[in-house]
Amino acid sequence: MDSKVLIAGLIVVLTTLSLLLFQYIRRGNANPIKVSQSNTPAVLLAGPSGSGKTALFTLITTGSIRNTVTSQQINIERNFRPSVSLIDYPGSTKLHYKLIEDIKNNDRIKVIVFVMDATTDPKELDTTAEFLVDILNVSEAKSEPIDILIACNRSESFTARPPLKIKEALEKEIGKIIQRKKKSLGKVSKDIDEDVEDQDDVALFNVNTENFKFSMLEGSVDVVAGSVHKRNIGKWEEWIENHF
Amino acid sequence: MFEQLAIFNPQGQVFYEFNCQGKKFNETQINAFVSQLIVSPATKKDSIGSGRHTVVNVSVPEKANCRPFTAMFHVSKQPELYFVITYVEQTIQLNKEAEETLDAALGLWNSLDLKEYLGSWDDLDEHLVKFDKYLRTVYEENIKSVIKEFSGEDSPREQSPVTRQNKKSGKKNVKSQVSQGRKWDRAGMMEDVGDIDMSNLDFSSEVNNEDSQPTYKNDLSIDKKSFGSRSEKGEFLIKEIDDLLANQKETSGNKETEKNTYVNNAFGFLQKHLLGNKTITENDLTSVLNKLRKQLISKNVAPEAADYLTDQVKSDLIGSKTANWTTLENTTKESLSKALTEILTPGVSVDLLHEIQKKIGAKDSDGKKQPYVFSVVGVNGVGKSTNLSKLAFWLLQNNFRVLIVACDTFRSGAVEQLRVHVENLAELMDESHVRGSKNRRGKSGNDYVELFEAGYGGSDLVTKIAKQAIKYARDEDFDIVLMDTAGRRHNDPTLMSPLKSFAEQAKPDKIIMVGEALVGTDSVQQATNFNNAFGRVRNLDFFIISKCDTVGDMLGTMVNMVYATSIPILFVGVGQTYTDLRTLSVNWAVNKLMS
Ligand SMILES: Nc1nc2c(ncn2[C@@H]2O[C@H](COP(=O)(O)OP(=O)(O)OP(=O)(O)O)[C@@H](O)[C@H]2O)c(=O)[nH]1
Ligand SMILES: Nc1nc2c(ncn2[C@@H]2O[C@H](COP(=O)(O)OP(=O)(O)OP(=O)(O)O)[C@@H](O)[C@H]2O)c(=O)[nH]1
Ligand SMILES: [Mg+2]
Ligand SMILES: [Mg+2]
Repeated sequence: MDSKVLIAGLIVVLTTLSLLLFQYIRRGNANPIKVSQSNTPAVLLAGPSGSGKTALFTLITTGSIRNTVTSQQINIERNFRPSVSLIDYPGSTKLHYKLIEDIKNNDRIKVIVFVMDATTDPKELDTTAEFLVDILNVSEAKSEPIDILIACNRSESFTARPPLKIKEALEKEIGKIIQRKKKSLGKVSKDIDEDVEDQDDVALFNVNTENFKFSMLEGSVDVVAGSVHKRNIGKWEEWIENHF
Repeated sequence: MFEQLAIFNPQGQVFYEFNCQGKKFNETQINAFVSQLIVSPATKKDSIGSGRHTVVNVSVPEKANCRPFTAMFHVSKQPELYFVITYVEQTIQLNKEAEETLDAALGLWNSLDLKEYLGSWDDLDEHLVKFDKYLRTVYEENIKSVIKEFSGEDSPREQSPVTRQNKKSGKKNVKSQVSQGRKWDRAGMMEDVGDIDMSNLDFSSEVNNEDSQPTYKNDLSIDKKSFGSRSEKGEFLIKEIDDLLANQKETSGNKETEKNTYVNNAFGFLQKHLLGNKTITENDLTSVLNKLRKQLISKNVAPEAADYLTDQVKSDLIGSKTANWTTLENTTKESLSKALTEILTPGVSVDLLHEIQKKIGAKDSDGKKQPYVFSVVGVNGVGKSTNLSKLAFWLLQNNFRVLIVACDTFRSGAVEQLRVHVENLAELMDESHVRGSKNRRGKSGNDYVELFEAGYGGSDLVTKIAKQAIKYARDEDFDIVLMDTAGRRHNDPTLMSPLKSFAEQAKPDKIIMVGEALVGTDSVQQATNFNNAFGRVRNLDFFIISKCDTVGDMLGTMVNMVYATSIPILFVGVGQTYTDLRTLSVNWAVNKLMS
């Protein structure tokens, strides 16, 4: 009799404890940097600094348009769709490595929204294209290639270029970058005398660079115009929706 | 008067912004500040006054629509928030004004408990109305007037040409400002466009008028009277604010501990012994950080750089929760790897081939191309000449024509040493090259690579050679000019000072410093001194770290040099042959340092 009560009591105590614990763990792990460890599917917002990622993130998650400044850390919304996270990465070159690491290590990353400024002169797309190449290098190396939406923001501006023009300019620029990368000095590696290609850099080199086209990639790439300031982001949201 | 006050989080969301001069808030300025913080987290800071706040001078990118400025800031923890004040330049008055305003903003922010409303924009906006009102009042009533009395005259914030001009002439006529403004704006063109509506042209006008008043002593009283009516209401508000601030001091501090003890009682035992999720404190980290610090120093990382890195780890981990199923030591190591990666990762991407192609692709008015100019500097014997030759070899392979310039007119044998390199390279490019033969222009080398030399002499000769070489390269259609310079001790001013005029005259596209991996702790000072040698407006562009093949995993020099200057490492030298130059892999370096 005594032991029965004891066991029953123990079970009650243990279940409550474990339930409480479970809840506590879910709530407690607030360290946002370890995205790679959280195994929920994720939509990434990437792109050059100042392109409007944080503005877009804020509009999607709160429905309001707010002032923003250069980000130093990621913004994360864990349940932006039922158990899908939305993550906004800083665009600063110095912080790119975090994005690249996350794409490499997290297999649940489904799509990347590459936000860029549509008013950029096509002749000055080189840094934008370079960033895109860095992303493609890792996204194309995954066993399940990642689809990319190139979101041409600020399309409300009269200096904005149409998506088709931007797409062509980016393809041309990427072709040139890949060729240059082939000629650049190899990376230093484990055995200093060995000139092995860095594994990360090979994914894109297989494609025919003479005439690079996004259609040569494994993942699909769509280029769509929109504007955060004019709340004209329906097409982007639709695109994301279609991927889940 | 300061310029702007902004409160925002590291994610980039702005909670409050205030332009003290009545203009539209200019985010570009805050962006420039944040970017500088990202690119050079360890440098350019000085603490002033009480040392509670940090002051940085911010330089702005060329195209930005704002001037260089000063920022004073405070970073609060949990949640991490940036309180930033920008102003024209560091003067005693402006520093003081900024400091007091920042204190006021912090005090009000805390007493109104605004962090509780960060979750919802609507709630926050509602409470910010009060914050805004209080802050403006405190500024108008307490800070502004005190600063004025303190300084006796208006702070020298006039940087805009219009104001300066206006002050000299003492005119307050708006129209005359217009034409003067234009003259100034287009200096040299001397356009005199009489009466154009100035509001489109000069956005600082509003401020000028209001601002040019307190220049004279007796204006001070007028000034005070002019908002006398506001003052009564203001005084009432001030009392309210004082009460609020006093209240806050008593209650603050209690809340946090309450929450913590609750959590501790309920889960303390399980946390400690079974699971992660324990909040990390400074004490937890002390022993493991000491160990890691020693390890870093054993790899040639300078103590100050090691301290910086461990501080980064502390601010990353303290207050966060330990992860499940992993030891604190591993978490700490991971965080240190992150700090190392962050410091070694370049702040700008450098695509040399692209930059070269861009420059030589653009012909000047005579249809000639401008060669792309590198110069290499560093202390004696670190491998300047050798690595310059390696760079030449890579550029030659990419079909550029290279002129190597002997600007080391100091050490005997330097020119001959460089000639040997040129002969070698010429031979590598064309097997039929006969060593010692002259090319069709009568110089050492062949059609691909050539030596430009003018014997030995003082620093005047160096500048002369540099200028002649660039002209020669342009006339003879070379793509690249590589200038070797004499090795010099970084702590010898007589040797260092000629570098400034050399850079001003030769205007190299890239100034490369070669540092050897062997050097150790002194590398902090070497890098700092070389970076400063070119004056305020010019910095080094990147480092080549040589002799990495000789140090195993003791790569601390890399960390030191980047820590000291925020200048990126682009290449590493890994041996004595022409192919022994590699692009830095940050992962590789971090792994070696952590091994
Ligand atoms: N005209 C216009 N401006 C926009 C639009 N979207 C964003 N912006 C502005 O662009 C600026 C930069 O936006 P952010 O969202 O901070 O840029 P970001 O991509 O997060 O930049 P980083 O954090 O530095 O990577 C802000 O001042 C926005 O208000 C748009 O559709 N049109
Ligand atoms: N192992 C190794 N040796 C190197 C490397 N780079 C340079 N050296 C050697 O370092 C020595 C000095 O190189 P130099 O190029 O003459 O150095 P420097 O800086 O031009 O010297 P000064 O002009 O006298 O100041 C030579 O013996 C080079 O072979 C490297 O990456 N690895
Ligand atoms: Mg952002
Ligand atoms: Mg030399």
